[in-house]
Parts: sequence; structure tokens; C-alpha cells
Amino acid sequence: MDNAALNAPAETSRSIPPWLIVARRVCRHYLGATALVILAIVVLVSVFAPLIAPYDPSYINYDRFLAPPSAQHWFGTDELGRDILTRVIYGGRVSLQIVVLSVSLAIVVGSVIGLVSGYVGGWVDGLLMRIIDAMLAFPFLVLALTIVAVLGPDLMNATIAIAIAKVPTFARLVRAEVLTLRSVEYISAARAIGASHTRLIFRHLWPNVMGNLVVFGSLSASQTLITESALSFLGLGVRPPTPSWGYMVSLGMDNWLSWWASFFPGLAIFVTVLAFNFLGDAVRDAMDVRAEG
Amino acid sequence: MISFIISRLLNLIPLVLITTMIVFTITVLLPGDPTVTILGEDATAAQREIAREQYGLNDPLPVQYVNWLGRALTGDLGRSLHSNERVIQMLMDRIPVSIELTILSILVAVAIGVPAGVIAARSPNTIVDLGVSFLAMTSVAIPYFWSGILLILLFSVRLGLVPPSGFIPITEDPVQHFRLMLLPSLTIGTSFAALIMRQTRASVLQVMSQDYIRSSRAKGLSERVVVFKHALRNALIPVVTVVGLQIGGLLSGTVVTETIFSLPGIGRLLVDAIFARDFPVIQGTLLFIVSIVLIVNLITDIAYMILDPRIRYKTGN
Repeated sequence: MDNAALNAPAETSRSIPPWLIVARRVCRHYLGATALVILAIVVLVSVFAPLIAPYDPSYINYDRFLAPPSAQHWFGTDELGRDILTRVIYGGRVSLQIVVLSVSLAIVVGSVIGLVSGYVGGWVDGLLMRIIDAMLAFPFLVLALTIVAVLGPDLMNATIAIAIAKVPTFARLVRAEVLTLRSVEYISAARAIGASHTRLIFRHLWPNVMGNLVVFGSLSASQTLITESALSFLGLGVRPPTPSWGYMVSLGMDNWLSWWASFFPGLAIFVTVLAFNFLGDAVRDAMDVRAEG
Repeated sequence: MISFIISRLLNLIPLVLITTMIVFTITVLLPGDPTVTILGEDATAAQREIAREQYGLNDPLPVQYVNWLGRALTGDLGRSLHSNERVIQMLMDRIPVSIELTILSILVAVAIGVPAGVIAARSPNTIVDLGVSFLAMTSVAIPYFWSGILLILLFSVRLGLVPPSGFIPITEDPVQHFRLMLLPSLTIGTSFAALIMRQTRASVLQVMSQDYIRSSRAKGLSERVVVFKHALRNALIPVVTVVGLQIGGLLSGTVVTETIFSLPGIGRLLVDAIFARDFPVIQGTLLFIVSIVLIVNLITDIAYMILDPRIRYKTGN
């Protein structure tokens, strides 16, 4: 996972940008290709939900309470007669939105903290890292749960809570990368020719750190999705009537005989998490220059 | 080794202080007036003011923090705003349930993960290895709350083998107690087993290529003795570390699992307290969970140093 090596000019890939090399390797990786296909389907179905979904997600059918899967309702209906397939399709929008936003937010905030900590060093580094270590002592879900309790349960707050809980891991990663890169020759050279701190950080350090951040971001997408679903499951995430996979799974607990009520939303979480895991593994392998042979 | 332990303990002091600050700050930031929770909606402004004085809520925040920390160090975590029960007592009542659930989950995980890891490592890159590895990859993708519900649907609703949820103390009915703890332990344990399996597989593969394993085979020892007596003993050292480092993940698992299976543990206490805005209980529970994580991390570091002499030499002892 030597990103610096990927960014360095290589004999064979002088004209090809590093991200394209990684993307090609991911597409050739059998798990990566599978993950990309699954995630593409999830994204497309979520984006075009109004065109694809057979019913309105809020439409209550008083004649079809907890109807089992049938030709009219492939995934059955919930306790209000709403079509579960439709709500699973719309639920994907919410979950993907939270995953993308919270991971992006955590990457930005974590990077700033990690860059400052690693670059400035001294007591600033000591203080920031002690705070990060203290945050890491909180189990991820417990920290997210408590922050949601402070902010109040809704979609945006769940996103912020998950992002805050994720910041320490990104900050640690960036700091470690910066500490390694600080002593690399081209950084010393840039410093010697009078590059400013801002230029050193954003022009030289940041681009070299980004690669590993993207890998780690894809690896942590699955954990983010599971946490978002867990928050919604516990009633502290997305508020009803907005469809959310985690909340839909929790509704099944009130109707044990209607297995479909929790099975299909859970299956959607499982398949998407699996795809994120596969993608994370594939990206990690693709970034590993040793794997190139 | 003593100096390593002392240095780790000294490092722990600022960490503990900052974690307590975070716990205190989070609960202070909780929305809503605590006196509404204490006195109800109908209390007058004067009654609220008296309550604020009585609970020290009018003091500056640093003073509130120091007072709270001082009391916490002596085991006084305050009283629940709802039941007026002592928080430390509430924790003491629930800790055994969560600890039992965690231990049973680890046992399930080790019972599944270690043999599966050894089987996969003994025939690397075969259909068996790929099958076991694929199972591990899929089981980490199943969220606790879904696997818990699936287990209830299968073993309780469909087959009727075990009760779906509830709790009976072991002193009242041991058989029923373990029947009720079976599904929660399986819920966390099967997911955790995947991590142990992956680590065991990697460790056994690494150890099996060592010279002393070749020597053991050259001596004519059976493959079973080589694997289980010589290889596994060394391969399990990193597995112990994985178990220790995953304690936070296991505690997160108990939050969801205890809610699904109606177990009166720490995780469910935290969720209930968050919904009830019972901030002394939230503070106490968070403090307990963080302390457990910090203590287990410390023990893991020390245990790893004892188990692996190379770490001891690196630290200069």
C-alpha cells in the first residue's frame, strides 16, 4: 500500500495517472469487479428510485397489512401495508447519502487534524494525539450513539455523528503518513527552495496522503453503513416515515411471524456491506505495489 | 518489564483525564433542561432553581467537572434522574450480564474461528480454504441486529428450540438462563469468529513455514502433533491480541444485541438512558465502557509482551 511509490513516476506508467492504474487493477480484480457491479446497481436503483419503485414509499394500503411476498408485492408489505420493495429501494438513497457524506466529512476533518499534528509536531501534536487517543477509547457505535443523543436523531445529525466518530482513525492515518513523508527527499528539497508551509502541506504532502485515505475510506464505508443502520435500528438515526434499512429491520421485531418485514431490508444492508468490503479489499490489493510483481 | 508497565500506566493518566472530559462534555451538551427530567413539566421556576442549586447545575462547567470527577473517583456516580437509584448500583446489577455475554461470545468465536482458521491454513488456496475464507468474509458483513433477528426467526419462531428473548438469572434457573443466552452469544460470536478465523489462518500459515516446524516433521512427529502442539501454540499469540483489541467492537455489539434480546446489560442501560435523557446514567455507563476498553488494551499490551519475548527485548528489558 505504498502510495508514494504509486505517485512517483514509473517507467511503465509515465503518462498514466496513478488513480487510473489503481482503477484498472480494481476492475481486473474478481472481487473488485463483483463489488463495482453490485454497488453500481445499488447506486443506479437509488438514483432512479422514483422511476423504478413500483409504489409510493409512503402509500399506506389498509387492505394489505403485513402481506407476504407475492406477484404484486415482491418483498411483501409492512405493518402499514406499505410495499417493502419500494421502501428498500428508497432506503438505499438514505444509506448511501449518509455513507458518502460522513466518510467525506471525516476524511476532510481527519486530514486537517492529521496534517497539522504531523507537520507542526511538538506540543500541538502531543495534545491533538492525546485527544484522538481518548476518542479511540470509545467503541465506534457507542461514540456515534452518544453524539446522536446530543445532536438529536435525524438524517443530518446521524451523518455528523458518524463523521465525528470516524475522524480519529483518519487523523491517525494522515499523521502517520505525514511523519513518514516529512523526511522524504523531495519534501526537504521543496523546503530548501523556500516553499511555504501551506504549499508544502497542500501541494506536496496532501496529494501523497490522499491515495491511502481513499483506500481507507472505501474500507470504512462498510462500517459506516452498518453503524448508520444500527443507529436507525435503535431509533436514533433516520426518523420515520423516511425509509431507512436499519429502521425497517427493527419493525420486523414487532411482527415475528412476518419474516419478510426484516429479512429483505437486512439483505439489502448485507449485500451492500459485502460489496463495500470486497471493494475495499480490491482497492487495497491494487494499491499494493508488491502485488504488481 | 516493570519499567514498560510503569510507562504504560503513566501514559494512561492523560488519556483517562481526557476521556473523562469527553464523557462529561458530551452529557453536559445533551439538549433539554435536566430539571425537567428531575421534576417534570409542571414544576415552577422556583422549584427548578432549587433543583439546579441542589444538583450543582449553576456552578461553572470546570467546577462541575472537577466535582463530578472527584465523586466518580470515590465510586459516587450520582443517582438516576428517573428512578433515583444509585448509578453505581445500576451498573453493578448490569455488569455481570454484559461480561457473561462478552465471554460467551468470545468462547463461541474461538470455538468456530480457531478450527476454521487451522483447516483453511492446512490446505491453502484449495476449495476448502476459499470456502472458509468466503464464509468469513460474508459473516463480517452481517450486522448484529440482522443476524440476531434471523437467529430468532429460525431457532425460536420456526423451530421453537429456544425462547426468543428475555433474561432469567443463573441462580434461579441455570438451564433456562443458558438457553436464553445462546442466541445472543451466537449473534456476536459468529461475526467475531470471522476475525479470529482470518487471524488464525494468517498466523498458522506464517508459523508453518518456520524452521522448527520442518525440524518437528523431520523428527517424525505426526502432522496433528506438529500443528496442534507446535504451530498453533505460537500462532495463537496474535489471536490473543486480536481478541483484546476487539473488546470495543464486542461492547458495541452488546449495545445492539442486548436491545434485541431484552437482556438487562450495560448496552441496553445506555440506550434506555439516552432515550430518557438520564445524564448521570449516561455518564456512568460511558465511563465504565471506556474504562473497560482502556484496561483491556493495557492488559493486552502487557500480555503480548509476556507471550512474545521479542517485544520484551525491543523494549530493552
